[in-house]
Amino acid sequence: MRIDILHFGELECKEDEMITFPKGLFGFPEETLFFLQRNPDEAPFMLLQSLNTSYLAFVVLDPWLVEPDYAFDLPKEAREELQIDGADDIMVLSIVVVPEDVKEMTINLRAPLVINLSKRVGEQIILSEDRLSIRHPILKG
Amino acid sequence: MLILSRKKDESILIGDKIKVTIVDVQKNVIRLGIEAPAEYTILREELIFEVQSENQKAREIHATDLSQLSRFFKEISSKDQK
Repeated sequence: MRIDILHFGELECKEDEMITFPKGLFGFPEETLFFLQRNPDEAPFMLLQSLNTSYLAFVVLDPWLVEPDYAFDLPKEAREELQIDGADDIMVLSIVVVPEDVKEMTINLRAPLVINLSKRVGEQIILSEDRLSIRHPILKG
Repeated sequence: MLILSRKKDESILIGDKIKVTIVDVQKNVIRLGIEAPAEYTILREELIFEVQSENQKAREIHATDLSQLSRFFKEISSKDQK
C-alpha cells in the first residue's frame, strides 16, 4: 500500500505493519487504521500515521523515556479488547503535543496508546490514576 | 435517562455489582461513594473531553520535521545525565 502524506512525504507500508484501533482515538472515532513510522534520525520520536486520512498523524513517544517510574494498571476490559494473552508483545506509546514553541511540548501520560503487537490491535486508554498528567512537560531543562 | 431522588447516605444499585451512595450534599456539590469491581473504570466525564481536545491539539504538529524534536530531546537528556 502506498499513500501520500501531506507533511512528511510518501510512505510505504506493508499490511503486517498496520495497527487497527477498533474504537479510533478519543475525538477521532473514525480513525481506525494506523501505521507506526520510525525513522532513525527522529528517534526516539515516532509518527503514528493514519491510513484513513492522509494528512492526520500524531507524534508519539515511549512514556518511560520521559518518566522512568511510569506505571499503571491496565483495566481488565482493555486487556480483553486488546486480546492480550501472556505471550503477547505489548507496546505503550504516549501522544505528544508539539506547540509553536517546541520546547513547551508535552506528553499525555493519562491516556496512553496500548498496542498488542502480536495481534496488531491498539486502543487509547484513559487511566484511573489521578497522579498521571494529560500534559506532562517533556523538556524540563 | 432514569432520574430519581436520593437523600444523604442513601444508595442506588446498578446491577448486582455496583453501588453508588450519596455521601454528602452541599449547595452545588454532591459527593458520591462508588463501590464497583476493579474491572470497571470510573472516570469524571470531563476527563474524556479533555483527552479529546488534547488529541485535537496533538494533530497540529508545529515542527517541520521530527529530527528537530529529536535533537532537543537528546540535548536535554544528556544535560540530565551530567
